[in-house]
This record gives sequence, C-alpha cells and structure tokens, in this order.
Amino acid sequence: MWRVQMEDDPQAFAQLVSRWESPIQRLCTRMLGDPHRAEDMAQEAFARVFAKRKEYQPNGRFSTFLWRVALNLCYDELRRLKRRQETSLDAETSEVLAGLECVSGADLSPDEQLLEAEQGRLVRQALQQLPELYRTVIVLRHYENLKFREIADVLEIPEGTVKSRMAEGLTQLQNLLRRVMDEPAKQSKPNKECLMI
Amino acid sequence: MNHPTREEWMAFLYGEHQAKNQMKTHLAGCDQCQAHVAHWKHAMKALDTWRLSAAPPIRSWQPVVTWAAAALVILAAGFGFGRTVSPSKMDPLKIRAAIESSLKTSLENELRQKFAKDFQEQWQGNIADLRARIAADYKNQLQEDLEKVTGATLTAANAETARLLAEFATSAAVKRTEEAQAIGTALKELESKRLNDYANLRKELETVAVLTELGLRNAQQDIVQLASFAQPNSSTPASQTGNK
Repeated sequence: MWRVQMEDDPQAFAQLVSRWESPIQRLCTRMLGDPHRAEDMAQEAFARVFAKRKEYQPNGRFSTFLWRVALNLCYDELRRLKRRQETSLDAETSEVLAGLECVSGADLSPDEQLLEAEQGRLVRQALQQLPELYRTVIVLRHYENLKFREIADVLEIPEGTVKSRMAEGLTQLQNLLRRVMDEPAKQSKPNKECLMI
Repeated sequence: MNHPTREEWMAFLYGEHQAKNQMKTHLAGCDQCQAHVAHWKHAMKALDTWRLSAAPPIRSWQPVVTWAAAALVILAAGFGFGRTVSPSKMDPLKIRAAIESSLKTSLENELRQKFAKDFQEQWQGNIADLRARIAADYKNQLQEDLEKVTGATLTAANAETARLLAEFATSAAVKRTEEAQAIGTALKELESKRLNDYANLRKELETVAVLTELGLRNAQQDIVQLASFAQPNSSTPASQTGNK
C-alpha cells in the first residue's frame, strides 16, 4: 500500500486488487445478497481505495481500511435499494445464480445437494432480513473469519459490543430460520430455481 | 450459579476464549446454557449451508451464457418446427447437417462480437471512471499546492512590507532629529547675533549720550560766558550815556 500511496505504483495496486478481490466480493455478496451488485461494489471499493490512497494512515492495517470502505459502500447501496424498493430482472437473475452457488460446493448426493441448496437459499434470505449491524458482524466473523478484535477495529466499536451483536444476530437468525422451516408449504416444496439445475 | 455472559459464549463458540475448559465444564452441568449454545450452534450450522463459489468474473461471462442459451433454444425450436412441417421423406439428419454449420458459424461470430463488445464497454467504463477520479485527485492536489504557495507568498510579502515600514520609520526619525538640531543651531546663531547687536547699540547710545552731555555742558558754558560777556557791554553804554 505504501508503494501505491507514495509512488502511485500501478503494479503494486494490481497486486493489492488480486489479493483482496475475492474477500471483498464475498463480503459484498453476503451483505447485499446479490453477486452482480457485489461485483460492482467490489470494483467501486478498489476505485475508492485508489482515490483515497493519500488519506490512508499507514499506522493502521490496510485490510481494516479496505473492509471499512467496502462496508460503507454496501451500506450506501442498501440504503439506495431500500429507498427505491428495487426489484429488477437483475435481482431475479441473482436468485438463480445464488441457487447455482448453493450447490456448487460439496461431494453430496443430488438429493442432499438439493436440500442444502434450499437451506442455503433460506439462510441467504434470512440473513438479508437481519438488521445491518447484526448482518455485518455475522458476515465478518462467520464467513470472513475475522477475529472479534479485528471486527471491532473495522467497525470502530468495542470488542464486547461486537460479541454482543454476534450473539443477538445468531439468535434472531435462528428464530427467523425456525419460523421459515416450520412453514409446511415451503418445507415440502423445494426451490424452483434449484430444481431447474 | 454464575452463568458466563453471551459475549463469553461467542468467544467460546468461535475459539477465542482463553478458559475453554472452564466453559466446557460449566456447559456440561448447566441446562440453561446448553439451550442457548444449542440455539446459536444451529444458526452457525445453518450459516454454513450458504456457500459461494470462488468469485469468477460473473458479469463478463453471463451475457455469453445467456446468448448461448437463447441460440440453443432457437436452434431447437427451428429444428422441431422443421421436423413438424417438412415432408416425411426428408431426412432430418441431412437438414440438421445443412443448417448446423451455418448456425454454428453465425452463433460463434455473434458470441465473439458480444463478448468483445461487453469486454470493451466494461473496461472503457472502468478506465473512464478511473481517469475521472485521478483527474479530480490531481485537481485537488494542485489546488492545495496553489493555496500553500499563495499563503507562503502572502506571508513573505507581509514580512517585507513590515520591514520596509520599519526602515522608513527609522529614517524619518533620524531626519527629524537632524532637522531639529539644525533649527537649534540656527536659533543659537540668531540669539548670539541679537546679543551682539544689542551690545553695539547700547555702546553707541552711551557714546551718543556722553557726547550729548558734553555738548550740553559746552553750550551751558557758552551761555554762561555769553551772559557774563553781555553785562559789561550793557553797563558801559549806560555810563557812557550818563556821562554825556
């Protein structure tokens, strides 16, 4: 980052992008629930980091700075979407893509893959219903494997608050999932998009 | 019984708690905490079911996949329609072979053009955006530098003005002192001249007075002499007249 900041070195910046592109894109996908928007947000995050490279304080960790920039972009995007109550074709396509991603992982039988994909879809939807402050902590700790101390640095809040939000987030998530799973119609009818695969 | 806090349980569940054994011991003997932990563990397990693939460049390939799917649908529809409406003696394999190559070529060209166009548009957009940001950045930097230079110049000009004013004040004070000294000298010369003139005038007046007194005395003597000279003259003729 120092080379980017002081010498505007494009190669160093390309290295930073290749190192952090996937984590940032994953974070944005988990936060927004939409891989297309997440891709745009990840690009925007790196463009913003480059534009604000002079403001970066070398005494802090670069990753903290980058997570913070990406999260702020996600918050802005979520607010924008909330204002517009946007339901576009992109979102529908994203549902399909998210379904594809659900089954891409494991060495499971087709039935198990289908079941897991459906669960993944429900988890994604439940996570999107959680308030942003809980979702952020869950995504950073559970999916991106940041320590509670690191999350506290990124969000600039005490570590105890991070843990408290994590506990509350998990509680609310489990309640949401239980409510959804208890609905017999949804339980017996697998997702249409996953069946198409 | 003191239960660990929710924050401690979170640290424990994510392997960040220092006293794991104590927590485990408490958990083994506490139904209430077991229920809480089970609740959270269910949520954590559920979270694991949402997997993401390793971030591929989704945006750039998706249109290609869409176009390919659309082309295949059209191909299948055309093939089906052809089979339905064509005379039965026509061989479907021959028809397929006839149209397959041309469709393949056109599809390939179309996909290639679409991919190139998408790629170009995306990167042009990115480059334009980046260029605009860099330009704005440099503009801000330039403005900051200009403000710094202007500030430095103004400070230097103020310092120079202050120095010149100080010099002017000093030279004016020196000149004023010199003028006062010259005026003092001139006044002293005038005073001494006036005193000399006064002394000379007094001397001359005294001389005139002395001379006048002498003249008056001489005149008085002359009058006295004249008076004494006149008396004999007046007695003589009287006697002379009497004698006659």
